[in-house]
Amino acid sequence: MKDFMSEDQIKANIGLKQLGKGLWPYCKRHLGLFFAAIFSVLILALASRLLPTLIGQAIDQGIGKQDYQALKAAAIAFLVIEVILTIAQYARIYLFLKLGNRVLFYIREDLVRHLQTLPIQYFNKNPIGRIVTRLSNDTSTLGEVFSEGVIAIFTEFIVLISILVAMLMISVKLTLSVLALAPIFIWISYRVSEEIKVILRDAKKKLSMLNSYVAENLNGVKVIQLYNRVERNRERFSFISQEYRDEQMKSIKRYALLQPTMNLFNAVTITGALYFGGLAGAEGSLALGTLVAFIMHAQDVIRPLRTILEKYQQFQNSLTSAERVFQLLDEKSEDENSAVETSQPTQQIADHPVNGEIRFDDLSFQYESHLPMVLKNISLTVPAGKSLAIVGRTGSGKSTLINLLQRFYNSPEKSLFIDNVPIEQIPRPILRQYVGVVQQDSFIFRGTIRDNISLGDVRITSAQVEEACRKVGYFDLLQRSHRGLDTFLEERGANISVGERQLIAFARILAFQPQILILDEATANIDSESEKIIQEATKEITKGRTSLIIAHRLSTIEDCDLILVLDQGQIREVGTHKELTEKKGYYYRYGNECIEG
Amino acid sequence: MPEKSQELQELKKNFLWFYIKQNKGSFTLGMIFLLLTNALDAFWPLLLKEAIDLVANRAPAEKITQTAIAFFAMMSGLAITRYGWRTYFGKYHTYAAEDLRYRVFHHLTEMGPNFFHKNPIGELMSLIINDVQAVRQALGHAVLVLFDGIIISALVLPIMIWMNPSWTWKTMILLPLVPFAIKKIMHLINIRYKAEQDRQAELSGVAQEIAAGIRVIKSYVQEKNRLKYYNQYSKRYEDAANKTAVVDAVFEPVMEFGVATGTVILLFIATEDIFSGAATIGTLVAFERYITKMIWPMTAIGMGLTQFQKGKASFARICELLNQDTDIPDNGTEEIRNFESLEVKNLSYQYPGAQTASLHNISFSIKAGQKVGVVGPVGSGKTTLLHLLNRLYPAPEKSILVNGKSIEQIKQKNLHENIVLVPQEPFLFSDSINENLSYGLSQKPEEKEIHRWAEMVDIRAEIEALPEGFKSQLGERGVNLSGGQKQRLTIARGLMMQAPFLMLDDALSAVDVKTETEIKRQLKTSHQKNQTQLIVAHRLSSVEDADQIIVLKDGMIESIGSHKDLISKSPTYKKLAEIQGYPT
Repeated sequence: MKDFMSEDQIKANIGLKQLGKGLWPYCKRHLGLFFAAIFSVLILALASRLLPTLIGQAIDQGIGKQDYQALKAAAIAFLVIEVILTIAQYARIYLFLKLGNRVLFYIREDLVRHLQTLPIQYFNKNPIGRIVTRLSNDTSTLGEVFSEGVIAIFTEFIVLISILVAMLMISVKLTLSVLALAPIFIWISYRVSEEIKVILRDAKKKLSMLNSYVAENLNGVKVIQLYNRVERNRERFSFISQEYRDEQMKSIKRYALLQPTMNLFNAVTITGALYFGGLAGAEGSLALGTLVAFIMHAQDVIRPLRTILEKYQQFQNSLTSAERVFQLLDEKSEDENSAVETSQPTQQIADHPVNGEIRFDDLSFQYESHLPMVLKNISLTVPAGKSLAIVGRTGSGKSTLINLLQRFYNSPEKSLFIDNVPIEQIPRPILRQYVGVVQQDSFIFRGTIRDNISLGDVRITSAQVEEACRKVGYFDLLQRSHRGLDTFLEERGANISVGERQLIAFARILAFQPQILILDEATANIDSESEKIIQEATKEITKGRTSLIIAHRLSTIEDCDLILVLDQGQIREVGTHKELTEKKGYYYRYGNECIEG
Repeated sequence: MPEKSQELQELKKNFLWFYIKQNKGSFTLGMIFLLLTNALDAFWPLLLKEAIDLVANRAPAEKITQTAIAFFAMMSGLAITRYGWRTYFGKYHTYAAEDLRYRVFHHLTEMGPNFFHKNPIGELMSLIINDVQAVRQALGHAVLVLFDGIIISALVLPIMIWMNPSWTWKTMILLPLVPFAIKKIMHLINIRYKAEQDRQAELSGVAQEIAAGIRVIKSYVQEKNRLKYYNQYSKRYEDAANKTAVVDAVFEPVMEFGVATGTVILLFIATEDIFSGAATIGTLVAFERYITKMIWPMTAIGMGLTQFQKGKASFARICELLNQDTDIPDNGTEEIRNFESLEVKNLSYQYPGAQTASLHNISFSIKAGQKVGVVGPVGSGKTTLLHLLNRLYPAPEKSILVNGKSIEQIKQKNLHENIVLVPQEPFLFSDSINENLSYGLSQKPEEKEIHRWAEMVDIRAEIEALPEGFKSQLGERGVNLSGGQKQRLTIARGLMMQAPFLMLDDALSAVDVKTETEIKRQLKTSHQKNQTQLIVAHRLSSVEDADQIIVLKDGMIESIGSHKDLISKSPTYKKLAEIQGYPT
């Protein structure tokens, strides 16, 4: 388990400046809100300083001079300022939270928009869990960095400055002598909080270790019991749990040190104020009320200082999340990844409906330069409207063909043509509208059956959806089971069978009407009833379309115009079922292995 | 374990008292330091008053110096006592949380699969992480602030009354409202925060679907549409977050304003007393500081109560778990030496909550050294049977006998030493391949030994091709193995146990026929050749040479016999044989 959670160990490489740079464009969209929030901070700082001054005045002017009116006025002013202060305080917290939420909305929007442009490799390399973490946890943490880090530090900084100004205005000499030791305390606190930062990071690591240990033990509880590991794993858990506890204790002890350090600083300042101020007061060079005000100001120095130090450390720990968010936004998109310029669509493809002829011209392909070739010298033409069954064992390169036809990966220049146009010259969105794919296990979104067929696309009318369902025979199935198109499907279609998921995918294709169809036939066991419906539906969706079918069922293969036998990335045989059977070559010998499973 | 269960009873009765008792040293010390802290904290404004009055009266410098020194000493004492209570009190609740966490884990690892079918792992995880943390908060922070609040009130109020009873009641009259307000606000925050989290979970779900369904989205050029859809949920989440912000932002201002009203009232009422000389300016300043001090206890009481309630609710959830006894208790006292026979008599099993039984009247017996096959369509009860034989599910008493002893009377550890099951789903742990292979062994085997078994399941070369070979880490951050590779590893893991009785639950389906033949050949020639085996399979080649084959259908035994017998006797078997190309 040594490099468990290695992700959390990465030290952030971005600082406040880059963070600000990243966030500013979003804040800029709501300048009104932004400045209102800043304004409330200024009011807050000002009002907070007026209060001690007012008490000082009340003592000197009111009590000192026995002026009842002045005292009363001071009391009323105090009340008014308090009300303003309360409002400013509320406004500051609320406005910044609101601004933060807005900024996060924009960031999430950008993330999702960008995510959808990323090449399919990105999704193959990164587990879904990690991607979702970027979108939810990391953006939330970024939000916290914004509202509790950047904003809090900014606010407390302004407050601190206002306090210093107020003190200096009373007496420069007094302020300097009171705060003479401040740098030492700030330095000590800074050191302690640096340690806390490291401890907190370690504690987080230990916690995630603990969490994954628990998750793993619960998921694999059967194996643990069967293989007599219960006792040993309990001991191991206990060990990890105690390590976490000890890390927590370390942080508690450091925090316990931080607070008293600040207390001590407080003690020094106030004692200093009392002593020097008291001496000055006794001399008569400082009015008593002013001294009281000064002490009150001095007492307020601690809080912002402590908050700044604390938040600064927390903020450091969360920076990695922020960094990861910005990194995702910097990932290269599909278009940026392909070498060929795609911005100018070929007129022929853009303006006219395609016929659907597919031509492979000496196509060879490897996923990465250090990996072996998956397709070798493929040359073949599928005439428009014809169907081609592709047969081959796992790893023969079948799925690579699909990936290339939809430009999920880039085929070498001028090796793959649709209606004689090199595929790299057709922009992806246009190409994908022409080439429809039904995957083996088609993805079902949470939502109604209708939404799963139309995908929520407004161009697909309700009538089209119904028509599509009727054609693939899904309507009958729904009616027999007393359900309708508005039946709700759970995540990944957990509440329907594999066969039904297939039918939905078929209906989807029919609703979208692509000119070219690629079908990866399901190998999964489907009950015999759905099997029959799907067979019929397959015929329906391939009707009149150029179809490439990765076939597993004999009946499907027999129905195709051409059969291509692929082996280790190479074409072994091409022909009709009859021809190939008679030839007694690859298809005859190995066909059985690829079919039905 | 009678004393253990009594301890558990005590914990369930009153977790606060239980953990205070368990950590009485640190709790007591923490409390003493807290008391000292509060005492010092309560008295320093009095010194402040002294000092100010000294200044007002133009007292000599040494007097001021003396007071300043006293003041400093007091504040330094405060720093020490603060350190003390934080450390000791922290120890008490951190250790308590660790104890509770272990109890939950201990309990969970006792439970059988039935329990996990009923309780999603996500929820159990939340129990051990979030609920334990909430209990810790209740034990720690909530108790702390409650005590703190009470102690401070008990110290400060008398001082205030002693200074000026009339000022006290006039400035304090509104204060009792603060705990109510705080409780109300916190309650509101909790509700809204919960709603916010629900919205966030919803949004994560949408994001998850975008990542998982990216191929469909790209294929159908639905990027813009999905973004719009995502934004709807994103906006909903934002609105919920803003609703939390509305109440979240109230908290601090309310506390502040509470202090302010007290001070304003003081300014109005103190005037006359000061003009008349009944009170000094020092008293006024000190009194103002005391008003400030009183706001915290009031807030603390509101806060502490809310937090404690939350922790109590969490503890109730944990108790609910601890109260569920395992359906496969390890109460057996018998031990078996060498596996001799397995007898299944009229075994029926119905899953809890299921409408019908999954197994009906199963009877068969296996003698040591026999090879037995089990075949049958999906859902015929094969896995259920194997789980029952390994006591993962509770079989009715005396329906499964090992060496003539009823399975529930055999110590589980001893049972698993004699019977090893390789489950259907290949589950491996995020540890090295070496560790995974020797997972069930109490003594670490030699490297050579591990390689030999890996060789047998035809995976050694593949492992050695990995950059770190047998030391490669598995799991999310380690190497990714294919399903077939994982399955072969789990077979090797099972074989390595060298148990007298080996059961394979459809594990061979992941290896090709050649490897399978090789494994079977190796098993026959090794010193394990007398191993009793029970093999569940789809491929008849895995079972055709077995001494007896059990054909299960719809939870019943359709037939038992040899390959040859069954082809004529069992329609299910015959059909399977036909499909797989056996002459029938």
